[in-house]
Amino acid sequence: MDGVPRTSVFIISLATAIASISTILIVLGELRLDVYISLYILAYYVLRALFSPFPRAVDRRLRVSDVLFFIIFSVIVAYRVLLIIAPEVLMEWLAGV
Amino acid sequence: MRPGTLKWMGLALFAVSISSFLTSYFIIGYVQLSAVFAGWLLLSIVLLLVSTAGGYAANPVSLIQSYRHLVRQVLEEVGLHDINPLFLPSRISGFPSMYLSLDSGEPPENLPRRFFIFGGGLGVRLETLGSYLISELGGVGEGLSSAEAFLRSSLQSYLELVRGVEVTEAGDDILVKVSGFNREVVDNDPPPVNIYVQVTGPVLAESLDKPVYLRELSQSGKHLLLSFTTV
Repeated sequence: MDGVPRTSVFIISLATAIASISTILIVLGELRLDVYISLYILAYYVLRALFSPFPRAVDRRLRVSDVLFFIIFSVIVAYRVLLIIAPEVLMEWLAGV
Repeated sequence: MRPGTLKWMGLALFAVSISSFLTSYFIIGYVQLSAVFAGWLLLSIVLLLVSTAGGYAANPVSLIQSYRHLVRQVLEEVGLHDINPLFLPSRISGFPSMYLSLDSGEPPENLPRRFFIFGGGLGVRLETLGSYLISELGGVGEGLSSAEAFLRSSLQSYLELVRGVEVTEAGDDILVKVSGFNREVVDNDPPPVNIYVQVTGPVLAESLDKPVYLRELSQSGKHLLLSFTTV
């Protein structure tokens, strides 16, 4: 990929990874939305590490998505953990919402 | 493609994916379709962030060639183009820099920023491409292993100008072997103009926190061999 900026390769790889993940999970019949989203986020972090270092300006902007995706991932994990250890508490919260 | 175009594409993708996601999840209730739109949404966020940063730089080789040309002209003008440089860490000079003077003595303290008269001749102290990379990529750690890791990440991954870098210690000398270097950015440059010297010197000086002097620069096939010694 000589001559192509690393940032472009990162975006193309992320698009490919997201398309592959969604295709594979749909073929497998997966119906949980959080599984799709957490795998997208995982792919984002793996590619982010693989293509680092980015130019400083890009790196600074990507920190926003790092934090945003980490929060979303943490909420998904917390939801799954609560579903296992205290499902009645979760049902009460969801009923309240 | 211009960053401005990418920003609008990111914004359009964001608008389409968020409305499609909400419709497919809350109105149609089709999870697999929602999952596909969630993927688009994630991609549009990344695209928007990257395009607003203007991260699409020009080919670094052409920029480096013009930079080398400029440095060569300035150093030839003051007669300092053909001497081996001394590299100073930021602890001594305030920023990682290349020091060139016809006087072989140690550099005086509190050096002026660029040009100065010292020992009867003109001397220069300049920030090089290596100084810039240290600041751009967030500094170098202590020790030669950190220097090697930094050189790999800057020359190999970031600028894509080499295939590999090895840093070894041989007595008082530090040997740097640059494999698969790009000949377009070297072109028989004298040591202070050579781009690999300019990057390696400040990185070694900063990681060892000592002045580092270039003893020898040689070429062996596809490898560039740089020999430094600490002062």
